[in-house]
Amino acid sequence: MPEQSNDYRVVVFGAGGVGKSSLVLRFVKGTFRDTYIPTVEDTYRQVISCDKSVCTLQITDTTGSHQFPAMQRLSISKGHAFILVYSITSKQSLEELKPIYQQVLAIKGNVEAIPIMLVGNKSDETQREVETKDGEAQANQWKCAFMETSAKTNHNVTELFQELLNLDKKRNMSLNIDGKRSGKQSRAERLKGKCSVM
Amino acid sequence: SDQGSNESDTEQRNKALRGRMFVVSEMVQSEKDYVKDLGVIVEGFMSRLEVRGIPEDMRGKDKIVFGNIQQIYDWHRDFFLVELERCVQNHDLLADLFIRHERRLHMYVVYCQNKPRSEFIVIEYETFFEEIQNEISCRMSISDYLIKPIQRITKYQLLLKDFLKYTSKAGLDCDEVEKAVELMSLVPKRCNDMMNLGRLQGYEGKLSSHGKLLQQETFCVWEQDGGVLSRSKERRVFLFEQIVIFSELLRKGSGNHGYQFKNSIKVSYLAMQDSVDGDPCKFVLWSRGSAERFTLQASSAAVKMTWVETVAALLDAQNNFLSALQSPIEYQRKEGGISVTRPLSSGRPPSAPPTPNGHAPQPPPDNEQDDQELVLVLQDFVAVREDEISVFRGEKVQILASNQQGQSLVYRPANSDSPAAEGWVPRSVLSTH
Repeated sequence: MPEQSNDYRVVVFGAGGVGKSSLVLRFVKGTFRDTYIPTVEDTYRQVISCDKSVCTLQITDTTGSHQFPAMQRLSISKGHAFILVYSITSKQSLEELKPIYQQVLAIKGNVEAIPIMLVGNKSDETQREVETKDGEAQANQWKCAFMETSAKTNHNVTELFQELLNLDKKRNMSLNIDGKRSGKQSRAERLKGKCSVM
Repeated sequence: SDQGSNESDTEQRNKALRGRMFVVSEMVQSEKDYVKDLGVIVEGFMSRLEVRGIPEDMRGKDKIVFGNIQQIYDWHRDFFLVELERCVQNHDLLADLFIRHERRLHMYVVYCQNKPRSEFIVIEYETFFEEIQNEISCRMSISDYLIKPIQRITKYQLLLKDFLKYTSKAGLDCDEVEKAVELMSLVPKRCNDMMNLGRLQGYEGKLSSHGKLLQQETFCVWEQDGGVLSRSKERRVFLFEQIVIFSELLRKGSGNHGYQFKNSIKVSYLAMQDSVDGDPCKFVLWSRGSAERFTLQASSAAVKMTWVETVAALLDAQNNFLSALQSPIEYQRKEGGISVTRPLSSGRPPSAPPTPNGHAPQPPPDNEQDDQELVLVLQDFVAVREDEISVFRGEKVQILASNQQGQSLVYRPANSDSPAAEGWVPRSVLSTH
């Protein structure tokens, strides 16, 4: 399939309730909603820089198609990069990523050239069922990257997306249009996030 | 403390009622966005294409690109959105709205069946569609929009599940909402199944004439012909009401994912042994009178159970049907009717046209003649109902039966674009005279 010139598509997978929408919303809009998190938002767009020009990062939230593999196949075949999200409070949610990984593998063939990030979300929670080292072990086995995040406290959210873009060796992409990373700012936000938990 | 708990009860209930309100407004808001997206396809891409004229080599294919999206758009814009907006004033209308219109949502099954073919053509004419995208200054590509119906049909069940959660927390009656959730989960499942079937290659028969698809699953299968046991092979197995199909998973490179037909067993000859070697995941299927046996190993005991139960129910229904044929009076006395039990089909039989086991308004004319001549399709027809098929101008079909509603049951042989199909079309699109 020929590449779309000005779109970079990231597809987010994960079982219900692991916080896919929250993660994406936190990244795109910088907000976290505790009262009511919308279920339905398919596609988010964000302008990023790619090979010194501007392109659109298109994030597809697959919420809802989880039990329908033939429909999910459409999203996979169009995706350039993948985020597989589980919740550190649920071993089951990590298990449920396995068939999805297999499907990505089957459709994309060689996954080593494709940016994939395994993400343990809800790292702020104390009722942990999946240890960090278990997540890392799974990522090793899948030959993909790994990160723990919290959409609630904004821990590692921007980093997740930047790292994912860095994994793509065919393009040089950055979340910032001027091409520089704002490490300072995101660190400050992370601290702020931590404080708000108290 | 009694009063305290009462207060917190009230608070809980109010919170749940607010939750219901949030879900309904999300349902309405996202429906508005959806209608807008569908509008980009219909009033943007389709209209522009009409103005520009369809390129010579693309004639006829444009219909496949868009499938029945116009119909989906019209219905959501003119009807469903309006009805959903009424639910903002009265949340109790929501579940019933979905229950009443479940049948209408079968247009999504039709859409999904066509989607793999549509995708293929969109890729073939990618540059052309990019030009159109630029001309209508649209930010996203045509395929981003064509996938919207597929995304949307999976969302209703999610939102309804949330609605159910809050309804239950609010202490309200959940029966209707539960039913709506169940129905709205079935629709995307059927869509999913249809998309899968669109990828089965090499099967010469008519897929649509084997009844409903009941189950499909990937198994490890051992074939045994006489004494020789083969090595185990991975097979995708489709269980229809009237046939079991074994197929091989094709994984040719990226994107091209499909199934190659391997074997089939007609349910009228099907036999089953529901346990082997004490393995909770294995069972055997074979065709009576054939030495070939298929040992299937499921990925879990639960999958095996589901299959064994489904097959057993099918065989039971068949036995009932046979005894009904052999001694109809006895059978009628027992059953109080001659309708055949179809325990697993959740749909209703098609209402207007006659069905093999329904009451035909008139006897189907001469369909004994197997070598009936093919008739020409004069006009495109896009299927709307589950029991209809789409036919295109220039295709040839065989008329199997006709009814008093001006419809004909036709068989369309396989062609380069699509597998063979059987279903109803208006007689007016055929050159019958």
